[in-house]
Order: sequence, then structure tokens, then C-alpha cells
Amino acid sequence: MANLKLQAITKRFGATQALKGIELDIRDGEFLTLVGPSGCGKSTLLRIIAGLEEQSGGDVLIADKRVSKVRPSERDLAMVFQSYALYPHLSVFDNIAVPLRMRWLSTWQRLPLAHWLVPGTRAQERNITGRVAEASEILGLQELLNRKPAQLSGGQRQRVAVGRAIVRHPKVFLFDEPLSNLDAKLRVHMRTEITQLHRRLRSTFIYVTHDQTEAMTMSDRIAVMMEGELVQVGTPSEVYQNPRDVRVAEFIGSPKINLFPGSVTSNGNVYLLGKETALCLEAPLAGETIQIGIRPEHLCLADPERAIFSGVVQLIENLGAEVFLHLHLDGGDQSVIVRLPHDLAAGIAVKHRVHLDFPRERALVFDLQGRRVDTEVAEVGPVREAAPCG
Amino acid sequence: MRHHSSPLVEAFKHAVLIVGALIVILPFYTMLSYSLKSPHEIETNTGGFFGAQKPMVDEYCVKLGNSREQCTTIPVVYNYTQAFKKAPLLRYLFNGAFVTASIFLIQLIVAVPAAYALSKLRWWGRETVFAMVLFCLLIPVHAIALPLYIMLAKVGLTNTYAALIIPWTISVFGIFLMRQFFKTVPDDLIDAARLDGMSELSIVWRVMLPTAVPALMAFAIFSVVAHWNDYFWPRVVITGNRELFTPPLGLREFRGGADGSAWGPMMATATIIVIPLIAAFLLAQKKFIEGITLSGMK
Repeated sequence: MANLKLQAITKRFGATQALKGIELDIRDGEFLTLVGPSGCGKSTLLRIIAGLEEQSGGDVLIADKRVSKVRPSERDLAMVFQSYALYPHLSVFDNIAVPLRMRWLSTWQRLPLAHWLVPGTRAQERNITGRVAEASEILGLQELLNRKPAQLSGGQRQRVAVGRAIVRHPKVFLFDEPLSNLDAKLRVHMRTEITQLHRRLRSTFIYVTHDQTEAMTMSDRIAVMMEGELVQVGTPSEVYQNPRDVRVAEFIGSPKINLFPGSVTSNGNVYLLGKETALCLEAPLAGETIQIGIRPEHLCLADPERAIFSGVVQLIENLGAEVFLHLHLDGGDQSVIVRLPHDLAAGIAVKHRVHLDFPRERALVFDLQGRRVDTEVAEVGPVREAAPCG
Repeated sequence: MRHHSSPLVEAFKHAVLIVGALIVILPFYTMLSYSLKSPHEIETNTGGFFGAQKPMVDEYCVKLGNSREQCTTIPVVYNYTQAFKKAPLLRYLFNGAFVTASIFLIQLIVAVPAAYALSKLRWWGRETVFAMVLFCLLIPVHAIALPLYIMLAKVGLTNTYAALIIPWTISVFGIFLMRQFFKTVPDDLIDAARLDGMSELSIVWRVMLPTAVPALMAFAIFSVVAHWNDYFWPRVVITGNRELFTPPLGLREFRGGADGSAWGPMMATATIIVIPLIAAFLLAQKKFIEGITLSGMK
């Protein structure tokens, strides 16, 4: 187990700057998820940590030791790949045993036939068998040890890949989109398995994914990457409720956050779609165009005279416990998604007109550059209080 | 998805294939048939496929002073015993096997790491080197045979096994074939091996080679067939020493002398020579076709 520090990591591929000075401290035993859209550089960053790719600048420190010149196998970390990367010609047992054999046995001891002549081989092989048994028990692979990867299902292969990683008790585990090749049901299942594994091993986990659900459900902290930069690092709820950048707000959360154009008056009052909102900027940004983000679950039905906007239902997605309404707002081409508990949505049908409001403290305001701007609710008038929003 | 075409088109396709198959099979048919028949039947073209198998007298045996009864055999026995008696065919078969196996092994030792470097490692000049490999594919053996022969003669290697083996140890075709196959091996597998603590050479032999078995089989067949059947090169570098003759050179022993060509024993020898190849192909057929399709070469 170890902490991990990234200091000003840059990576250039020809003319493109893939990573632009990544600074990140990962604590010992932490489950940190690197999340971002494809091409944001998260996999490159993971490969740099693993030593499979060399950074153009900056340093990687594992347990406070600079590892930039250390070979991948000597960094004492294990990686689970998206494609599982199992050795197709070896049985499950041998696949899991490879990292130990390469480390614990000498070249002579690895030679076929000759190896039994070298003293100590038998004892080492016994140790290896013990460790493989331990790992396969954790992952429930005991029955499969003699099979070849081709005879396994996707989930089983994934488990073997994890087994190969945990067998040598590395300091840090790296996961590169390990669940992307699994079907939806299995993915949910493996999610809990990996979380439980982390709880059991208490090692440092670094997990790369483009799936924000995985990031939200599994991690202690999320690091959101966009275009080669770390945009925000924080706990899942911090990142969700308090995004520091409009790209983070858009990326995290499903369905996607609703973004409305807005403006600010000289005294800091925020107008949404030309209507006053009773929101006020803490620092002045007068005259600028801004964006206001409201998550689908923060929009709620309101009386027509109190509503801040109204629209016509275009599509209803019923998920059982909750319902997503896709609306087209009056006057303009703004679309909005509303997430409602099933009961509240009863009686709403396509083509119905719906009136909406939102609790002011939930609104997220972003400036022209997409940076978050802090707001306060200026006046809590009687109208707002009566709004049926939580 | 099944594609149905009209019976007429199907019939035509089959006819073409049957004619093609017949053209390929005909020489083998003649070879096998001649190896069974008496010299008289071969010259007069009688006796069908098997010949009448009437007892015949071996005149050469009689000349050596044996009685006519002792020298009477049936043609098939005569042909096949002559094949082994008149020339040391077992020795030739051993030479062929030794040379072919050595060539293939050394080709592998050269081609597999080279193909790995050309497909999976990033280094300056890789594309140029690969272009040179492709260029070498275009050079016909016969064009460089003479310089090769002179070089071998200068270092005194003619009439040795080395002369039969060394010129073939670097197979650009093998490098090309293996490179194409290695390109299909996912990079993740190699990265995983690196993290597991394997050196680059371990990766080549412990990961790439075992995954490339189908391609290896295809290459093995190409290499073994070419060198087992090669007549040209052994004829050039083995000039006197019959101990080093490969099977195709052995066939020459039956070429016409004072008493005309011994077709029966010659064809018996040819049959014996092709049997190992046909057996190997039948055993490896499935893997072979897999390898050819995998490497995208048809």
C-alpha cells in the first residue's frame, strides 16, 4: 500500500498536448476514479502511472519515491485492462501464477523440465500455489482453475484478470475501464465486487472510466478530466452537487443537467430566460451572459402563476420508480428534462402543458468561460416560499 | 447467411474445380501408378493403375550371378526395394529431415523476434526496415544463387550441411507473415506481460510465440515444403558427397544410365519422398488453413 503523487505531468503526442500539467495526490488506500469523456487523456495518465508510457514532463511518486526511471514491473503496481489481456494459451491457474513466477523464480527455475533440478523450485511452487488459491478463493474462481480463457465468460475473464492483479499484493491497483466489455447486468454486479475487493484489501485503487455511474458509485474521490486537464477532484457528492465547471456539471449526472442561458444585471441579479430569479451573484459580473444549470431532479411542478417556465411534454420515459419528462419550453427552442417521482408524474401525458419551478439554492451558475460562480438567494419572498419544491 | 445460386452456376463451379483437381492429381496418379508397375508395362503403357503384378526377373540381379528363381519378384516389391537398395534413401530422408528442421528452427529464432520488433516496438527507422523486408520478398532466389555460392565456396562451406542451411536461415517471408499476425495481438496483452515482470525476450517466447501457433503452422508448411522439395540449391552446393544428398537429389540416382531410366524405382522413391509431407499436411490441415486465413493470405 502506498500513496501516489503526480507532479505537473505533461504528455505530448507530436503536436497535440494530451496532458497539460496534471497535479494529483492520491492517498494511501484510497479508491480514486479518473473519469472523463473519451480522448480526455485519462487512460494515458494511467499508462504513465504504470510506466507503460513515458511522460513528456513532470514526476510520478509512489510511496514518496520518484519512479520515472523505474520499469513498470518494478513499480509494484498491478493493472487490469479493458480487454482483460489474459494469456490465451495458459490455464486460469497459470495466468494468475505468471506475475509470481516471473518474480519469485529464477530463469532456470522457469525452464520447462530443467526447473525441477534447481533447488528450491518445489518450495516456491508450493508458495505460488498457495497464493493463487488465496486469490481464486476471494474471486470465486476455484472451479475454473484448469480452464483456458477461451472457455470462460466475459465476467469470469474479468475476474481472472483481477486475480492476476491481486495475487502479488501490489501497492497500487490500476483499472483501465475494466467493465466496459461486460453487459449491463454483469457490470452492476462487478461494480459491487470491485468495491468490496477494495474494502477487503485496503490498497490504493486508481480506476479509469468514462462511465459516470461507475465513478459515482465506487469511488472515495472522483477526478474529472477534460481535454488533458484535471477540472475537479472531490468526493462523488461534491462533484455532483458542487461542480466547479460547466463541463463537470454536464458530464456527471444522468440524465444530463439542464443548461439555460441567463444574464446578470449590474447589481448582480440573475435573470434566467429573461425572467428575474431572486438569485444574486456574490461577486459582480455585470452585463455578462451566463449559464444556469438545474439538474432534472431539482425541477418540479408548480402552479401556472408561480412557475418560472412552462412547456409542452414531448416524450415520457418511465423508469418505474421515477419518470423523465422531456419538455419543449414555450417561446424559443430550449429543451428541458425533468425527473419526477412516479406518483407526481401520474396523469401527465405527451402534449400536456406543464409548469415548472426550482428551489433557488439548487441553481448552479457558470460564467462565460464555464467556471462556476457562487450565488446567494437574494430575497425569499412569499411566492418562492410557497413553491412546492423541496 | 446462405447464398443460393442457380444449379447451373453451381454445376459450372464444380466442373471447374473438378478439372482443376484432376490437373493437380494427375502427376501424383502417374507417379503412384508407375511405382507399382513393371518396366515393360510402363514402356507399353499397359496394365492399368496397379499393373498385372506378374512375376518378373531382375536382369541386373542375374548378371551378378544369382539364379533366375532367386531374382524373380513382383514389380511393386522390385520397385520399392530398388528404391532403398540402389541409393541410400534412408540417409537422404534423414538429410532432408535434418536440413528442413534446422532451417525452420533457425528461421523461427530469427523471424519471431524480428516480427515482434517490427509490429509491437516503436523505434526510429522501423518503417524503413519493414520496407526493406518487403523489398527482399521480391528478390528471386535464383538471382542471388551465384553470389551466395561463391561466398560459401570462399569460406569453404560447400558440401556441408551448413551450405544447405545457412542461406535460408533468414526468411523475409516468415518475418512478414509473423509480423502481420503479431499486429492482430492486442497491445494490452504485451503491456500486461510487462507489468507481470516479463522482459521483452520473455514476451516474444512466452506470450507472442504461443499465441501465434496458427501462423506458425502456416509458415512451417511453407518452409518445410519448400526446403524438403528443393532441388535447385542442394544441386548447387552439394557437388560430390552423396552422403549429404537430400531426397530430391536422390531421385537423380535413377536417371537414365546405360540401361535407360529406371522409372519404376524412381517413382517409388518419389512416392516415399512425398509421403511425409502429405501426412504432415493432413495432420495439420485445420491449423494450416486457420493460419492462412488469419494472416489474410489466400
